[in-house]
Amino acid sequence: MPPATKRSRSRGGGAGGLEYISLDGLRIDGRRPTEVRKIRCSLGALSRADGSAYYEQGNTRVLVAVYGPREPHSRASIQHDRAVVKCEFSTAMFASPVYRRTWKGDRKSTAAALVMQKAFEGVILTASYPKSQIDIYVQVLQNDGGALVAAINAASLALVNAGVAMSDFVVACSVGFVDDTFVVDPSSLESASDRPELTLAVLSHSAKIASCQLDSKLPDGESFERALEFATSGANQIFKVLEYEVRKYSLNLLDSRGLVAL
Amino acid sequence: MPKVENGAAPVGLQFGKEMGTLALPGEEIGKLVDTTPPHGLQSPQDQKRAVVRLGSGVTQRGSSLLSSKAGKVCFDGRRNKTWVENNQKRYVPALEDMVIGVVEERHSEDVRLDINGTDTATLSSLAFEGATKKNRPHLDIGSLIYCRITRASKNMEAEASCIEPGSNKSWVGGEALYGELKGGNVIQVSLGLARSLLVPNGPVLTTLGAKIPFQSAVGVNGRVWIQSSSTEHTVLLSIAIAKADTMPADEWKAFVKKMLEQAT
Repeated sequence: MPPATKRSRSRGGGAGGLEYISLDGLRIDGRRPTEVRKIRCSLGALSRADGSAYYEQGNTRVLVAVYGPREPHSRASIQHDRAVVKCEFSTAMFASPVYRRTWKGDRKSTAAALVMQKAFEGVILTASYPKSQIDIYVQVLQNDGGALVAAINAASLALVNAGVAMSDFVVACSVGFVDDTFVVDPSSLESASDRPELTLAVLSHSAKIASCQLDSKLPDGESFERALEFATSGANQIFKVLEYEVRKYSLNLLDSRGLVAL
Repeated sequence: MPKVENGAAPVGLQFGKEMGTLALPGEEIGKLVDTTPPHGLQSPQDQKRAVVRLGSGVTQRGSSLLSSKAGKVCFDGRRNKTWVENNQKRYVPALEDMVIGVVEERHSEDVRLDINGTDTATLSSLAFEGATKKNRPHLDIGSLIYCRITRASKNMEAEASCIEPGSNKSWVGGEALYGELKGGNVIQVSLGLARSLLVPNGPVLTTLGAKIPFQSAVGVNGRVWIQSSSTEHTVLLSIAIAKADTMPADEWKAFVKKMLEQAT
């Protein structure tokens, strides 16, 4: 349910006279600036894929399937010393409020796919699967802002589900900048093309950065560092949820064999 | 503390104190401890034991051991080996694994087996006990072979063999452990279930065996072959084993009971 948007005399900044931060310091959907939307996820949503995950972050919903390590489709793409990571990012026609014909090769999807590919290439232990290919297929079912963030988090879960060896667990979070305030995990109302938005993917245990992308300029260098801090704290919030989910999933697996020894 | 199998305490490594039994990728599961003479172990016997073996799902960064998969941390005291046990669908060949392969291609000297991994495995036509150039099994495309992996390298194609070390039962007599599986039915399950089926007196096969007599072969590559006296029973057993993959233990038992009641 999209929240009722209050139209009031603008405090400046907001396009279309929208008040992004109320006088109480709450956002349009009632969240505090540092709060992440509600997350729901499940592993192994698809039976045919080697690994899969369904992920919801607020009203953004994605489904990710992972295949591999499997034999590469084309001989030309074989790397003799490591696995090749490929990513495909597609958005359903019904994903956004406007029913629109989309295809996986458009500019935004290609960019998102490339970001994911680069982020996961660094994390997956590709050297342990030479001459093979790992495919990540992302399908955005509903886009309410932060589709890339949701896709990265879902892909992490799907890779865990597939049992692909990784050096760390990737978690992503984005930060928007509206009305001179940093808002963690902006929804589609809060993220417009002309506004700064930082999308950060971090490695949860070693706290390294897997990917960092800034759309539009932030006022100064200092605010970039603050944005990074907000994004990291948001990612930590998300990681707690994902960690819980993975542990629950592993425990269920052991339980299904009567092997629980805790 | 992780579950310790076979008693003996770890040597040369120390598990993380607050470790649960489940680990996530990137989580530290323990540290390697220096055991060279000035620091501790003196006797050559202990020194020999201090070789730490890292199994699948464990990587080393400096002196710390990190998990690379999500699963249960395991330790085998007999071999001083630690690994992370998880469940997945793709098989990665490992030495001395017992697998069930499907013949994909036939060549003059060998056959190609699909072992459910990234790559195929080769099985020499002579890799049967007592096989000679003139007297060797005829393997058609599509036939099932129960064999063991004799060469597993990530850079080379795996090699399989049907020769059982320490046994001289000829392939002709039908008594050999490895060889072609004729008749019956084969199903694909997750690798975790396949491994748990191999545990002696495991709950799944024992429960089913008490109701219906059957023969089975379990490949750690996730293939399970079942044969019983009638097709009906074989189908029932196949469904029951496949269901054990996802159902909780008690629910599964109830399911099997109900299914068998309805079938008879």
